[in-house]
Amino acid sequence: MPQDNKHCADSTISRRRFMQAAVAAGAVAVVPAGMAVNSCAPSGLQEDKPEPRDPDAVATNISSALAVPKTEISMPGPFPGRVACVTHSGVTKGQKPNHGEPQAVAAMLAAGMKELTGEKDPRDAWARFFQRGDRVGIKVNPVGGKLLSNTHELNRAIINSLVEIGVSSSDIVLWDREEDLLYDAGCTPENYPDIRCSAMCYLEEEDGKKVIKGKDRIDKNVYYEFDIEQQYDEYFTPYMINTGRRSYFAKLVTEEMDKIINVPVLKNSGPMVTLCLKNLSYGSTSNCRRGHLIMNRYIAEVCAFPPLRDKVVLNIVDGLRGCYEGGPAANAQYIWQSNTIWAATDPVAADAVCWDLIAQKRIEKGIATQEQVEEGKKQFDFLVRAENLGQGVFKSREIEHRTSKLA
Amino acid sequence: MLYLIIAATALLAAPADEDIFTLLPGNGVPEGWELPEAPQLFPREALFSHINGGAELYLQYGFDRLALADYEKGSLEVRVEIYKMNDAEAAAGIFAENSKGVEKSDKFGKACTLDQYQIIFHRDRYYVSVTCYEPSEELQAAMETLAAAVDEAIVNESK
Repeated sequence: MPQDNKHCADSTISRRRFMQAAVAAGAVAVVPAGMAVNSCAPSGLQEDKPEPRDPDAVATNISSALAVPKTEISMPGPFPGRVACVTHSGVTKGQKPNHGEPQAVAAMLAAGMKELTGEKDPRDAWARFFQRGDRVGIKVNPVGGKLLSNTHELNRAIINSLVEIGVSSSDIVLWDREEDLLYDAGCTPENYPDIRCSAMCYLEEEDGKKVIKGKDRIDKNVYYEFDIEQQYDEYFTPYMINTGRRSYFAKLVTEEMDKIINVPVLKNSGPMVTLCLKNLSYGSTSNCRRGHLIMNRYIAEVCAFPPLRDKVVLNIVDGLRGCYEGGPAANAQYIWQSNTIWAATDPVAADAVCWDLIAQKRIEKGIATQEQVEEGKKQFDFLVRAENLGQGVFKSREIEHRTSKLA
Repeated sequence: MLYLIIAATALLAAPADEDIFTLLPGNGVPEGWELPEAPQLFPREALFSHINGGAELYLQYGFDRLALADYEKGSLEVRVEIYKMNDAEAAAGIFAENSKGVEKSDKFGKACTLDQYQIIFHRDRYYVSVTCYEPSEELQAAMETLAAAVDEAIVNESK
């Protein structure tokens, strides 16, 4: 799918440079100052914060993305506000982490797609989004490693559904930002021999050493730019690929895929969540760590750029297991078998529904109070921002939550 | 992840950085278990590459380095992660964050939590996580042996 990327290079961003703040690398938490972490933290918490910055005062190149007209498949797709939820109480019973009972998983996916689209045959549901010749990327989230990453049987059910309607397996790629995380979670060529597993950052042998690379896998014509720079050290820079004011999109999304299925894992990230929009924004761009400095904007605005906005046609939240605390890494004591998947074309509505579930769990388990949850939603307003950018529906009264239970 | 062994140790780690490896149990602990690969070292800035956004909290508390080792016996696996924090308060802080609402025990370290998949504890400036990927009595026993060995090594280090 050829595209004109020139719009992204026409930034009028301010030249004003802001804090080198190397310490900000460690100081800017997922949880901004004043939030729950600080309020309950033991005295060991180190006050190593950068100078506060109003995210709305930061200049970005979002206008260049918004200047590009949407297409007929752009977010939020044909079903804004609709989220199909399917549960199966036995799907994880006796299964290892990252695994589910194959037939139950396949049945859940088929039911979710039918519920989402209103089609009677799941093949017709899939055919509404994909066709022979499409190059399809499946964006997973392997950050939780072997304890809490994508369910392999769900990945397989998605691949099988695509192949069944004519998409060639050679046109399917399972991908993430970092190859080592992807492989560690079991998304390897050995486990998925019929498709491609790929990442923006990868390791290559050079002079007998393994070296982290990625510069050849970013698209220098397509980037999100904002006027904050963050310096990384010699070790970390290769993982970020570049420094400076630009976060480049992976060629995987700008050049190598026509359509994307976004498959986040049901997880909290401090008092907020890492679901559809965060999985896409941080997983598709270089130099993304500084994005935490303006996180709400980073998540919403990166997803408003055409390579994501116009290609992510389906979101399947993998909630066979979820975590309500300790995320985005995996802490076993906070993982529960939620035995659920959600299907949506609207990533904002899916995030809103799943955030409510995680918040409810945090309250139930005594991790947060109702007031803290509400305060967190006010502070982490990326869903409101995404709704304002036209990516989906956040207001709960406008969300159509269709639920079904298979067993 | 295996590749990071070389990236982290061969390229960057100075011998002094690797002192933390002395806290890791060697081959045969528990009996029949071994370390098929050398342990990995993650310096401060490398933590993000290991746990991504999860690193921010550790860095905020004061993180120094991480030693990670995967122990195997046949198809069984246990991962040991030893997070060296800047001081004991930082280690206690991370433990507190990662055990909110969970029943504590004094079986390992100053305090610990035990789960069928994971044991976490803190002692001195270390926060330790021992993880397996399937529930079984053999794995539970292996996790406890490894946790006890690391705990003892930390105690001995401070003597």
